[in-house]
Amino acid sequence: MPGELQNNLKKYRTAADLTQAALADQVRVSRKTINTIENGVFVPSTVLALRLAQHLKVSVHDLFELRL
Amino acid sequence: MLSSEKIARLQSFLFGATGLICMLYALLVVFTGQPDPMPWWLPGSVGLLSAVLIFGKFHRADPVSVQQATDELFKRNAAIAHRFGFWSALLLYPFFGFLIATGVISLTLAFPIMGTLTAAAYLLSFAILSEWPSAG
Repeated sequence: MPGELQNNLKKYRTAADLTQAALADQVRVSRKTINTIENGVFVPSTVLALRLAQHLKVSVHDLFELRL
Repeated sequence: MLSSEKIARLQSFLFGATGLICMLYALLVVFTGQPDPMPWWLPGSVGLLSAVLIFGKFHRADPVSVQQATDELFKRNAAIAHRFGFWSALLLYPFFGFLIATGVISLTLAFPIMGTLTAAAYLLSFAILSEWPSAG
């Protein structure tokens, strides 16, 4: 049964004291991409999810999880 | 140096402006009953000028900004706009075929309307998605 994707990107980004623009520059995407991911509008690719996790020093499962 | 936000915004603005001119052309054809309600070369020229400006801005920007401006959200928006433009263009044929067959509109008027609406569908949907990604 498919679950709903939930993300904690904003939580970990603010914990790392990064703005959306700063995180976007680090992972080389636009600020709007970070914003749409945080708002659940856009689901990133696996590669981008891994890059976000790497830069925030957390696991992908910390950032994204399926709410069943 | 141009930021990714600025070049992305310029692109969506120019796509939107060109799309609006195409849409305006189609509407003017409908309301005036003339196949060339404004200079016929205007939509195409604005499109070419926009292409030159966009290419120039991307060329002058640093590679990292270009990479950021054409990231996976951009590609997703472009894919949705391509799909919308493709299906809009296809659906215009049966729609206008019906209007021509029933005598509502002449072929002389249908041709410029279909041409400009085909361009407007892609350009406007891309501009809207770029500014409001949740619309996709």
